[in-house]
Amino acid sequence: MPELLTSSTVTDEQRRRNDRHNHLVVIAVLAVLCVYMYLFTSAATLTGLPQPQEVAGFLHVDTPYIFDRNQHVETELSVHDGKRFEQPDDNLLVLFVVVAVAFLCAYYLPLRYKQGALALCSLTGIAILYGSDVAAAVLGAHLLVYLVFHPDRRRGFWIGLVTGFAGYLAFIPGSSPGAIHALFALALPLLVAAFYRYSLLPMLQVERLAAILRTVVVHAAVVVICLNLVIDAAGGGGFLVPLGLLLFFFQWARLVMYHIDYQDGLVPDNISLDRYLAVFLNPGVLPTWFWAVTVPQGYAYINNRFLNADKNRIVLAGLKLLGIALFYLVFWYWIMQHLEALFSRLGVEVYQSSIRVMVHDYTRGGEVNTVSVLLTSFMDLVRTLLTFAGVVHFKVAVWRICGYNIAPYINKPWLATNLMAFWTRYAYYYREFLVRAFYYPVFFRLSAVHPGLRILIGSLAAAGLGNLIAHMMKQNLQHGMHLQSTGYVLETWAYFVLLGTGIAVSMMFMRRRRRMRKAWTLDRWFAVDLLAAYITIQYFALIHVFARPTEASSFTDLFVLFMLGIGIDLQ
Amino acid sequence: MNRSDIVESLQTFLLTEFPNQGVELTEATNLLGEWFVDSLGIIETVLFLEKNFGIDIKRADINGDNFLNLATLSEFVARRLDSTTG
Repeated sequence: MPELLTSSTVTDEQRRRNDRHNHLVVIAVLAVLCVYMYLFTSAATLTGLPQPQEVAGFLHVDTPYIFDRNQHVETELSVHDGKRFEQPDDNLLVLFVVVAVAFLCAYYLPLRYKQGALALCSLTGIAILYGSDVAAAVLGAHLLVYLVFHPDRRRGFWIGLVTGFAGYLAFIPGSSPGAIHALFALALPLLVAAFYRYSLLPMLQVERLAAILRTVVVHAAVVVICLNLVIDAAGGGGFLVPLGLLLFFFQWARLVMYHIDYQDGLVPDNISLDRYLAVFLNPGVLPTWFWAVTVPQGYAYINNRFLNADKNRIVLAGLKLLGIALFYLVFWYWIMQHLEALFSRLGVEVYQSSIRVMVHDYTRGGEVNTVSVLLTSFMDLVRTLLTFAGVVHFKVAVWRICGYNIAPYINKPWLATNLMAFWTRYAYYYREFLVRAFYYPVFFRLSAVHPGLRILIGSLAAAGLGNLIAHMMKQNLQHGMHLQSTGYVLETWAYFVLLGTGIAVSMMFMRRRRRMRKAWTLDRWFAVDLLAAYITIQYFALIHVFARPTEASSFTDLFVLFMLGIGIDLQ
Repeated sequence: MNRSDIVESLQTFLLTEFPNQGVELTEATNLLGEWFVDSLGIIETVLFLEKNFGIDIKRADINGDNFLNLATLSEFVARRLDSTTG
């Protein structure tokens, strides 16, 4: 596992030494990306090659559950809300091409241009997939954050001009009359630059005011959501947020981490714009961007992992992850269908591996038993894990082939023998974000409190409250900023409490137990490891009963199902 | 408590709490890169330092300068002990 807190930075000289070319590695990466294009997009049609399903049929491979109606492989990897192309597969084709171009830039360009090129490739990808207005909004928002965090009189004026022009591109409708366009194209950059020079810059020189402004820009998403909720509560229905800003808001966790790094003195004052943008704009951010922010780390981690080892070794590690991702992306549904068929033959109802379907059935008077609750929740987790693993492995792989030596997001969670370890293995970066943003601030303020209580409060703050807030953000950003979205997440409070409590208990248990033995050692305790792993996974799966309410279900229904899962029948 | 006692105490703790890390634990071993694994490992270590040495640790103390290796960590503890007793 990599260092997350170390202040040791990689020098550019070290990076140059690590930046040696190997054309075979490049060919291998491009070949794997071509496989992705062939399997998931209309590349076969465009090139006149036989469709993936035809090839699978020719090879007598069992094909059900893998292909879509276009005879391509059905995938969870997607370009969410990409509206420029009619077919979702075409969006993916653009994405893979952007990844390939970004990879070549990061591989062959001189060191000083690499990170800037990655940001530029990402922005170009956003512009092609969503439109130039969306790319301009993302860029403008980030430029504003950069100006607030790294004020500079001379450079700031020019960046202010670009910010204003990005604002013009983002928010002035294309249908406006030409004169309006010309006016805004000239006036907005000047206004923003002047506002920065004569208003914002003096404010940023007052430390307390600067701290408030930094907090506001980092938490702009929270501010907008709260504003929308207030308007919704007052009967106004809220307002629509442009897609470009939504994309920016979805980077809230990463902005928070950047802010923490900044407060910890880990971000240099004179950080260049391209290095700032490279933290947030990487092609790995684009696919399925609403599924958690992959690698929600700030400057220190991202920058310290860039070319910190031999470039080809990092790229090959990315290639390996691309291969693993491919397996999950292609076979997840096939695996699920075969498992469900197996349980069906055994006479166990698993409700399409969906807790929500089980809850729905129960609220309509269906009979549910303990085995069904346990297996359905287990299968629900397996489904989530298989689909999640494919997408996040792909995203992390893209970071890696672009030169970032970063850890996988998900790392064999089935090997965890306690909940704390499971959480780490299941959602490593998300957990790191919650620990640094919620656990640490609480934990270090309670130095006079008993360690056990400190751990409990810290765990509840991170896995409970922090997790709840992060879910609420995601729900509001993804499904609309209104009370219904917030209410839905609040309804699932028991899941967060049980997760936080479970993690605290597992931490306290691990502290009491001397860890002289490594889990999964082939000795007489191996069976205990096996049992501990099952209990851990089953507990995590079962508490999701509280996280999957339906419109018709009440808390009592979920509670009854949960209790049924632990063997107590309250029906 | 002198510096070698602090190092020995820390070494015993790290070997017990985070065994089988695949590298030899010396004073120069990079704890954050090769030993602690992650941010929750830091929490364990903080609790140990507070309990064992009776020092108060703040959020700002959790950085690469103090927690880099056994040498820097023991120096940090020694400094904190000096300031507590002094």
